[in-house]
Amino acid sequence: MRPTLVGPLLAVSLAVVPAALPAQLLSFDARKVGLGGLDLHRGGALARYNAAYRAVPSRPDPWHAKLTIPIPLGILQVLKDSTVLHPDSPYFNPLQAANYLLDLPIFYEVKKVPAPTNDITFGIGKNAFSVDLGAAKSAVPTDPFGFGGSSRPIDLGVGFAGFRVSAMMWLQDEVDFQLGNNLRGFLHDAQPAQTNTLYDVTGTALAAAGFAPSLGWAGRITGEGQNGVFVGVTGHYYLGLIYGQATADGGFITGDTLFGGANPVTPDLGEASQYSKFGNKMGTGIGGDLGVVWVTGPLEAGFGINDVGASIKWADTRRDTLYFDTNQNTTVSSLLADHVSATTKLPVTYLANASLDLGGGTLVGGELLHGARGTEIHMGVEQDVGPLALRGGVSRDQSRQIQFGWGGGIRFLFLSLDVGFATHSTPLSDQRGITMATSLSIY
Amino acid sequence: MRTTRLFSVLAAVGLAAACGEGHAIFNVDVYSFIQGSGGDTLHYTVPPTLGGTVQNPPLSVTLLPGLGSSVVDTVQLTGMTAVQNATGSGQVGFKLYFAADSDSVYAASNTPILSTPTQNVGPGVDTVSLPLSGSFTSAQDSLFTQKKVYVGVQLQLQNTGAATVLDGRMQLTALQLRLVIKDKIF
Repeated sequence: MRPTLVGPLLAVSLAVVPAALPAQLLSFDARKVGLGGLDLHRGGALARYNAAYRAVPSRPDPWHAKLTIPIPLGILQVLKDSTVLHPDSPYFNPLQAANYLLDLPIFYEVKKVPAPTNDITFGIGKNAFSVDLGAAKSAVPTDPFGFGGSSRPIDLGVGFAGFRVSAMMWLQDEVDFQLGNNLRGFLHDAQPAQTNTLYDVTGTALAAAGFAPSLGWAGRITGEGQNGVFVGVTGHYYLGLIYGQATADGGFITGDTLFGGANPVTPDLGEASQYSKFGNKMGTGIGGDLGVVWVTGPLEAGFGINDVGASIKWADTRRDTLYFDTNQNTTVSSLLADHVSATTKLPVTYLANASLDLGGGTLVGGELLHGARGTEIHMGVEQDVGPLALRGGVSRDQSRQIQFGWGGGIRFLFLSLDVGFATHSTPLSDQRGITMATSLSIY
Repeated sequence: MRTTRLFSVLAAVGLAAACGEGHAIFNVDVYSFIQGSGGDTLHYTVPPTLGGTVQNPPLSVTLLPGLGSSVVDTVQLTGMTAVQNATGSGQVGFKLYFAADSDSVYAASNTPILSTPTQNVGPGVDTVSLPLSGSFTSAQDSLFTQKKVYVGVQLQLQNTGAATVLDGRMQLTALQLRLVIKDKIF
């Protein structure tokens, strides 16, 4: 098989796609969506990130739900648009399919971000090649880009006298890419391609999963009734079940002639990986969560930090290397070392929040959430009007874009039906799209 | 062939990066691909008082299959050719044909995409430059949505001399293709 530019460039285009994806909602709760992403009621992210909230007494709050179930109207949109997913369909669109895969639209897209009209100009000769992406070049990342973080999908435990014994499942994933200087100049700056030059993308990825037996305590330090200062601390003994990380550099080297030669490009691939399979000796480490909450009358403020000092040592890992052999036209892998140790760190996450009950059914608040991928800021207000709630909010997402949310809900007995609208953006347009979230809450 | 396939794929890549409606514009230096290969020259020999044509065998150019759902907006060709006459005198005209199959390239029903007015050459050693410029019609544009297209170059000749053979060659010196495609590459 003679190497061509096709594969590498398609890979590059797919690598670029995430940069063009819209910033999306992170919550399935329409109430939170309507508040601009804010957790205004105790529970949710507040309890997740602040260990002290477990000790804060419940307050009369008609909108503090026990369970929230999203109503996935967005799935209907996908099903209606399903022809784009079928390769045999004349409407097949791999970009849209990839978009659905990477970003399953749970909620209904009321207004899509308008796709900008953009001309792309190619200059092509036997020994010349350039691409001017026009406005789309803003979607070509000049800095490292990726996604990742840590999560706790399951956290089960029992408590007594302020203590809590629990076991949580933890997940960590980090994926980063960076375009090489030559490729970045070619795509972003429309620099002409050069002969005998490497065009590459470097990437790093890490994934790990395990569980952590935990022991925590949360209680009041001072105050009485609803008021007081509450603190919480939880220690975790992390046990890692599976881990893997890899660093890769992939691309192609142009030939003596860009288009006319027998070998227009030569693939270039190098990768080093280290992993511990399920069944190997488990990784171990310790870490902790800390939190404090201050409540005085209508004012409430808190700060919680997770996974402090959470380093996990993996005692039994294997290191491999892989490269593309241009002579054999195949990849070659080899063992570098076996039964060696490695250490990973869970990213520290913290949440600072404050809320104020203004009376008359008006509750305002704000929070700052800092994780592995940057900082989000959410501010919102909720107004009760009998069985109705009206909500509004504003947020700054991790890409530093200002977004807006608004919505409402109606409460009936132990149920509420809520709707929330939120704006979102893409790097390719200065106009925002609007998503409508719907959910059912049980109180 | 290889070149055109690459053009199409690169268009797809470009549009993938764009994620929006628009045009893919290809400015292709076609001459750079055929320069020195022999395909850029066409030898002619016409007996006295006679006329005729010389042409190259149709060349196939493979396109990307996925282009079938695209809309070709504009196809323009510009270039320059030099008629380098060696002996005799006469008239020379240049025609460039495209067709969906090789048999149709030089068929009488096929209209050349590019045709120059005839130029006088000679007598004897003489060089005449023929500027080339042409656009595809909307019907011809659809050729670029197919998997393969055939290209042919033809010279129309008339020996106006009474005794000397008209002999020389056509030398292509520049050929630029501008292809504008609306999105829906996939």
